[in-house]
Amino acid sequence: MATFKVTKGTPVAFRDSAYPATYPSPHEGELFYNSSSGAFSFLGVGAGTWASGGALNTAATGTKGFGATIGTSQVNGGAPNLTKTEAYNGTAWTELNNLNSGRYAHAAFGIATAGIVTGGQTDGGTTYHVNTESWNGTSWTEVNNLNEGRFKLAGMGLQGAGLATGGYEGTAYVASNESWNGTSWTEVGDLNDGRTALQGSGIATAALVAGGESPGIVAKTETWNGTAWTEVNDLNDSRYTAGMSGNALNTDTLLFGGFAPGATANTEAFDGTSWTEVANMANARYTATGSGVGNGALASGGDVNGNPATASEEWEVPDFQIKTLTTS
Amino acid sequence: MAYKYCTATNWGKNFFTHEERKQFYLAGHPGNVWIVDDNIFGDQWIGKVSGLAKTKSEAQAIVTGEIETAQEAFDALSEAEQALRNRPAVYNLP
Repeated sequence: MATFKVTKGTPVAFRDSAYPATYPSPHEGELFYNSSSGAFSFLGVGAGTWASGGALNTAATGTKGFGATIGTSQVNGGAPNLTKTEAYNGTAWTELNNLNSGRYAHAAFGIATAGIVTGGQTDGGTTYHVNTESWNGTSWTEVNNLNEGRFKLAGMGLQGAGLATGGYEGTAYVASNESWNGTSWTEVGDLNDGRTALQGSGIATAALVAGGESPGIVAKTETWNGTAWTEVNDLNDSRYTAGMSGNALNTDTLLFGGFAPGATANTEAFDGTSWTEVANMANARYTATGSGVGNGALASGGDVNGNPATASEEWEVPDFQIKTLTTS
Repeated sequence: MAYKYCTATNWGKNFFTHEERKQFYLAGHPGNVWIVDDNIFGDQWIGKVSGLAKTKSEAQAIVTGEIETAQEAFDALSEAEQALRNRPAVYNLP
């Protein structure tokens, strides 16, 4: 004779603890009863949140940086012409050797032991850098210049292959896109819409830029396939001088903060097709430095209501999360 | 939604954690003003950071004062320096 369970329902696992919330899990999407907590729970896909990180040694706005992970990130430069470089170990920031040329609103890309900075501005708004420097994990060395000086540009890629895209060169919003091959810059396919204060992530053959000013605040997003830029779905909220998980693939990246107008804490995630609003930062800020990837990013410093900030926030997406079912 | 208001200094790592951000609303504002949900999780966090409780009007006065100070500092900058930044604007707390 069939039991009630067989004819009327699905058995729910009875456990004395929660399922481990780590990937991979054969229990993804399962409901279970946890006898130690006396509650029904569900093992679902994790949702990202921002937590506070270590404070920078120097408060600055207009810094840039890079890093494949939160704990291997660095920031450099800053307004009006800072040369400082700081590295984060996941808990605290340490000062490293300075840039040769002070700058802010430049482009930066790479990893902790091998990076590039280029462009930017100094001297209170009269000089648009073409100057490029290479980081070897210890110190900066000047290398070949950009073809077109500009600031508030996006930088994407690695030390041996990257992009410098968009920006402002003193009279016009720039659509120009230059490719770095580890030795020199070459002009390649322009953006569809020239703009400044945009953000970028990805690699030299698969990149993404979003947001910016041209001259209004825009939500436009474009992806790069190594040859040409294609317009894709816009951000949900227009903004410029946001932060971005710059080392992320262009199919899984995070954009956070910015000026919309007014500083925003809003965060959006891109899945290769469209942007989805996710959990906000605790502090609204713009010109924050972004690094990391889509499921582990770092927002450092920036401008919080007119004041350069030292505070950082760390974005983390757990593999899974346990949701306890409640009644109300 | 009901909120509580306090002032507390962000000491960096673990001032607020991922777990806490899942449990309750938290937002930072100028003048070290923090807003949290008015529930047990918000109360626990205020205790953890030794937050000094404020009424909404007290918190608003702190935020407005900080922003007005930042506006004065912005207005004293050169035109070139102002071009780098945005003039902060006073806003109302939720």
